[in-house]
Amino acid sequence: MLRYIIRRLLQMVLAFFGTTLIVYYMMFQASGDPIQALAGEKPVNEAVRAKLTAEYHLDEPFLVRYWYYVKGLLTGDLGNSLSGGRPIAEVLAERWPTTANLALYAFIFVVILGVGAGVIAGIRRGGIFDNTTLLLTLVVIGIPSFVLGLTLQLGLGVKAGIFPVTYMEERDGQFGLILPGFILGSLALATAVRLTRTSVAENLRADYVRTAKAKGLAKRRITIVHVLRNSLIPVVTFLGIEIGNLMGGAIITEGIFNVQGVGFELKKAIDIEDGPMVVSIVSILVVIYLLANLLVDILYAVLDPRIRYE
Amino acid sequence: MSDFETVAATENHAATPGPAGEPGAPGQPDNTSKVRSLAGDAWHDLRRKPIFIISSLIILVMVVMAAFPTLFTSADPRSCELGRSMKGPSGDAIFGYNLQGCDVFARTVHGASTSIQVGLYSTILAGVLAVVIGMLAGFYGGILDAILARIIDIILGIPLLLAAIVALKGAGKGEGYWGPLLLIVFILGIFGWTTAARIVRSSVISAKQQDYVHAAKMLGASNSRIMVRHILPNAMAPVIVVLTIALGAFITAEATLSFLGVGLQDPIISWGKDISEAAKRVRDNAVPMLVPSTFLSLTVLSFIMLGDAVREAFDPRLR
Repeated sequence: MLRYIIRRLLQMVLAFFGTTLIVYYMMFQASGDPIQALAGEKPVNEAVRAKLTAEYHLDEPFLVRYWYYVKGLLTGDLGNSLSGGRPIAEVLAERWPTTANLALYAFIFVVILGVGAGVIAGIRRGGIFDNTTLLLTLVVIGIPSFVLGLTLQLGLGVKAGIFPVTYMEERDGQFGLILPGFILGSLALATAVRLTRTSVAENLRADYVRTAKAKGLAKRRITIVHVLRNSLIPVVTFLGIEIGNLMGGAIITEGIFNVQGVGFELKKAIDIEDGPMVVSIVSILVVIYLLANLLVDILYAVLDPRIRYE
Repeated sequence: MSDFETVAATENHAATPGPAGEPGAPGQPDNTSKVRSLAGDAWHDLRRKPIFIISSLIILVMVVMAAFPTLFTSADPRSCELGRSMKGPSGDAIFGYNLQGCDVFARTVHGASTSIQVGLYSTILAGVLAVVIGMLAGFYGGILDAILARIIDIILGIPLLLAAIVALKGAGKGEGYWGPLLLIVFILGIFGWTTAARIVRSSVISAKQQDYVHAAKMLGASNSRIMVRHILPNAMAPVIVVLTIALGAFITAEATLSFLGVGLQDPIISWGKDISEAAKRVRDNAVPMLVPSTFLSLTVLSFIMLGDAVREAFDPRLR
């Protein structure tokens, strides 16, 4: 087990440097003259330019600048945003709770509706409920989430007036996050249903279930104690990875519903061409995604001993 | 991923009637007299599946629309007059006009070409990368496999949408019609091949151990001949399924990026961009948003349903 964790950690370190290198390289290509961008239309005098160049290591080669960027990322010093010049870390600290809150709603929908419907569909495979949910999940997977978001916003918000059209924290409180949370989680929800269904249906046919039946155990006990426990292993790993994905998906949902979280900030940074902000947010989202994957893999090894001996 | 391995494994026993050919099923020819291959069996199943037929038809319509938009509308999607801004449906324009006074239906019809092209080209690029890299990793194994696996890990570590946002910010806009289009194709292809490559790799590994590969090796066939002539045809089925679904995902990605404002720009007509513009004025008139949304959803949905139906037909375990 320890060997597995160590190997996985080493892979994670490699992936961290690889992903940040790619993200940084792409931004490096983008930056024209950051000092001029900082100054706007005004001409920059030579002394200021020299000072800023030294301060931001602009005259250093690519790899050295990458090193400063990684160091900043690891120590939480993300530099300043181009607009307003606030420290990026400060802006993000302010935005995180909202996104986490939204992701929590999405996650609750995925766990309760997704896993619940998946278990029922798996047990009654081939029935009406199964076929309906399968078709519904395909539709949800097929509709791009921004289309789903806009359509539900139009239908349930603008036309029916059940949910607020745009989110205002002081006005709507937690209620306003329900619809955005549902849309954020919809893709994961559909995938969770299909995954749980396949897993449950497969385990129901396993030998150990037949043995349990032959022993005369009650059907309910077989389903809950034997089948569910084994079926939910792949679902748990999927859910873990989805936490990372939910953070990234927030850019669309938060943009549509005006929820002022990290995704909203990322959308704003794209619109006003704030390069450092975009890269910082993306880097942090990538790190969260990698960490979620790492945790899930370790959790998987704990839940399913077979995985350690691959 | 085990699903795909199963597909690959069953592919190799194509000559034997698998569990798929259930005897006694109505409308099936007698299995003992005529042995049907797995592909034939899958085709037999697919032909009578409503989801398969419907999604194929929708894709066909979209492809024809992309190739010959003037068959569907005679209006010019780029001739816009502010005087008819947000006008409702009429005899001239069945879905009315958008904020700029452009014909909503004409724009939507012409937008099909962008979506289909982006989806198709990115899938081809991702497919070629996936087959070549997955094949090399699976066939040679060892250090090459380990290095390629780490590279795949790294690319999988960046969610497609986020990678594309940063890459598009970095690469600038591109010139003319083809510049931005090919740029987005390139970025989606570069970041989107990894899942398919893993599947190629695992099906190559299982195909590599088959007797006919050993036989070919014994007869003195070169590595490249074994890879191209013997392993590739048997490893293709699962990856085609994944690529069909990926095609839908690439179309979604392009629309989403254009929706966010980092994707395609004028004069290219993109459903994502039109939806984004119409969404700002949805309270006044929802039709300009709903029409491209419907077309986009139908297209993506069809590719995903098609992929799903084919996968089900090829995987007897799911029946």
